[in-house]
This record gives sequence, C-alpha cells and structure tokens, in this order.
Amino acid sequence: MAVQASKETIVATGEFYLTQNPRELLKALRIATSIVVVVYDPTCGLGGMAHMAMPDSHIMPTPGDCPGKYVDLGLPLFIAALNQAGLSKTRVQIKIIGGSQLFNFGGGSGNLLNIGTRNAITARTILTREGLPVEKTETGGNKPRTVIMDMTTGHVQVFHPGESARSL
Amino acid sequence: MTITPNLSLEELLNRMDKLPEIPAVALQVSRLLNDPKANAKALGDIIVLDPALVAQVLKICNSAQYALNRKIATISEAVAILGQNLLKQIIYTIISHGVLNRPIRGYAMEKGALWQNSMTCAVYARHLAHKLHFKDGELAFTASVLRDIGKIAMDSVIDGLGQTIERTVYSQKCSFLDAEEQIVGFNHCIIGAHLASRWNLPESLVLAIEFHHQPSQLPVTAALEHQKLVCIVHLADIYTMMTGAGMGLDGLMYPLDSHIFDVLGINPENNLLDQWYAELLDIQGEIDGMSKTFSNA
Repeated sequence: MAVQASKETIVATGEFYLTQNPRELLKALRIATSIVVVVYDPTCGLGGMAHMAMPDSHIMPTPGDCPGKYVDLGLPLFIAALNQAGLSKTRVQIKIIGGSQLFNFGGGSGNLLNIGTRNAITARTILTREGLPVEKTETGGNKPRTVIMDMTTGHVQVFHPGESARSL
Repeated sequence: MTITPNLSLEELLNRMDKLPEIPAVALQVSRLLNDPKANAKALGDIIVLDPALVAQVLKICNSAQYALNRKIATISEAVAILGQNLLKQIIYTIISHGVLNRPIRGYAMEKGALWQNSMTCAVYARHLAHKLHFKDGELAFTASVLRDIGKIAMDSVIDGLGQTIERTVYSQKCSFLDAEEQIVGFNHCIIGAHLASRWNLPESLVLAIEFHHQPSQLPVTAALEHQKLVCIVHLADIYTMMTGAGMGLDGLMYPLDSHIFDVLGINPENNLLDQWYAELLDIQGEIDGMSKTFSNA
C-alpha cells in the first residue's frame, strides 16, 4: 500500500539532499540545461537528489558562492555523502535527468552554450568512475522538466510543462 | 493551419478577452516618464492621484533592495533621491506585476511563472548591461520585465495549440516563434510590441519586445543604443531559458542569435558565455529579493 507523503523537499540549483524518510517527496522544478541525479537504495531506503547547472568548475578562477552548481564539484560531494550514509553500490538505482538544449537547428551559434549536453556527459563520466551504474536517463531535447522522486519506493516521475507525468 | 487568416493584428487585439489593462494613472506616469521636459513635481502630482500606487512606490523605495540610508516618505522625495531612471524602472515593474502575475494556460504557465521568468531575465539583463558598459541598466531591466507581455494577449488564441506548434517546430526545423506565426498568424513578440505601442511605451521598449528573440531582424536604421538594448535582452533571455525559471511549453525552442556578438563587441570563444552564466547563477538571491519586494508591495 502506498504511503502518503507528509513532506515535500525542493532541491534547488547547486544543492543536494539525502533522506531515509519514506514519507518524503523530493522535487527539482523546471530543470532546463541543468542536470539532476537521483539515487535510491532499496536495501536501506536511502535516497537523494543532486541538482547541478554547469559541467566544469575550472572555467572560473574560483567556484564562487555555490560550488555545488558544478557537476565536477557537486556530484563527488553527493556521492561521498551517500557512501557515508551506507549506500549499497550493488543494489542502487541511479537516474540522470535534464540537460536540455537551446534550439539550434540552423547551427548558427555552433556549440556555444551547449551546457546541457556537457552536463549529462560529465555526470555519467563521474558516476562510472565511482563504480555507480546508471539505470536510466532522460536527457536532451528542448523543454524543461520537473522531476519528482517518491521516497516510499524510489519511484521517479518526470514531466514537461503542460504535459502528464511519466514514470522513469 | 492558420486559425486567424483574415484578421488584422488590430482586430485580433480588439477581440481578445484577456487583453491586459494598466491603471490610468500608471499610464499617465509612464508617458510623463518618457517626456524629457517633464519635471519631478509634475510626476509627483500625477502619482499622488493613485493612493495604491503611492503606497506601492514608497514601500518598494524603502525596501532592502534599494538600501537607502534614509526613509522616503513622499513621492517628491522618491523622485529627488532615486532619480527618474530608477523610479521609472520601479513604476514599470509595479505595473508589470499586476499584468504578468496571472496564469497563462496557452503556454502552460501557472500563476507566478511568467513573473518569475520576467524577474530572472530582468536581473540578468541589468548585470549584463553593467558588464557591457551599457549606459542604462534600469532600461535593460524594464525591457526584460516587459519582453513577453504578448504572451498574455496570445493566451486565449494559443490555448490548445501548443502540441500543434511544437510539431511544426520539429517538422519545419524552425523556432517556436516562427511556428507560432505559421499556426496562429502572429507571434507573441509582434503582439507584445503592438500592445506596448498602444500603451505609448518608448520606442526602445517596443523594439526590445518585438525583436528580443531575433535581434538580427532589427531594422539597420535603429539607433545603436537600441540595438545594444535588444541584444542584451536577447542574451539575458537565453540565460533565463537555460535556468528553466518559470518556463512554459515553448521551453528552449529559440536559438541564440550570433548577431549579438558583433553589436555588443564580444568574443564568445574561450568559455566567455559559460563564465557569464556561472556568474549569473550566483545572483539568485537578488532575483528572489526583487521578486518578493514587488510581489509584496
């Protein structure tokens, strides 16, 4: 029987969040070129979400006010926190969502600001390096996505503005 | 398919049931603000005719956003201390909040979405204006707040056509703006510019509304300062799309117009555009503050 969620937590850009509360929903709203990594370990009910906006912190002299916005800084911190909380690498369910792209059919602006694609590639590269298998992805396209994870089961739903939610 | 093939733009505007209205006093103030001969007293005399507007202006002037070291108690003080440019931005933003803060079903935007989107673009545009040494950052802010005003007028027309327009985007390999024009007969930029003209907004704002998705289409006769304004609003709009803030079903279906690099004199290589995006992402607190200040006024 489904458990009624009693708490909703919105994970904003540059943040990650971990919980073992089965009555909690984790949400990332209208992610466009950003990338969201959702993790759920059914063995201990541990789950989490990381929401990152840019692939590589090295483009700037310093990471600035919010280092978690970079995939290369934020994702390793998220993984370390998950490991510390007892994540099982053999049973874990990991999904990558986001990485939309500006419309570029004409190719006029080339690869400028193709941050969405680079976010998705960087996230997958880091997860692979850490020995964490990616179960599913929904990346690319030209529309923002809202992501919701139900901590009761780890069930993840994704939807575009004005469309119905789909299970991932 | 075009659903309004025989209607002129003016007829279409007249038929729309959700055409945004702005208060009469605000309209007068707006005209006065664009009159170089108008003085602070005349402006104050008009604003005081609308007590609600007076209260809103004073509340915003005294908010943390403007960090003044003294309390402003009257409109004439506000005019004297803040100056016409900043006061103009405040008044336009007050007017815009009343117009933009509503659901727009046609674009799948719930109440507050367009407002959040506009505030994000406005704050980004002001930062980019400063970075690019554009002389009037408050004008860039105002133009960005108002840029998608046409979406409100298009709401009832586009409602239910979102999927048709999206299919056109991918089948014709064109932007949402072009697809909108193919299906509806007009796009939200053209309608927005007509609305702005009806309200007697200055030419700079009308041009920014009409060409913010296509700066390269701006007439070559446009003044350089107008060209720069349109390009700054375009770039701020691109960055806003990338954040997803308050976005609707049109999503990121608009291209970056490389014409802006020539007009603004920037070299987009060597991660410059990525670096600017990283900087803009760090000012979310400012966006939240501006949004809250105007929402609570």
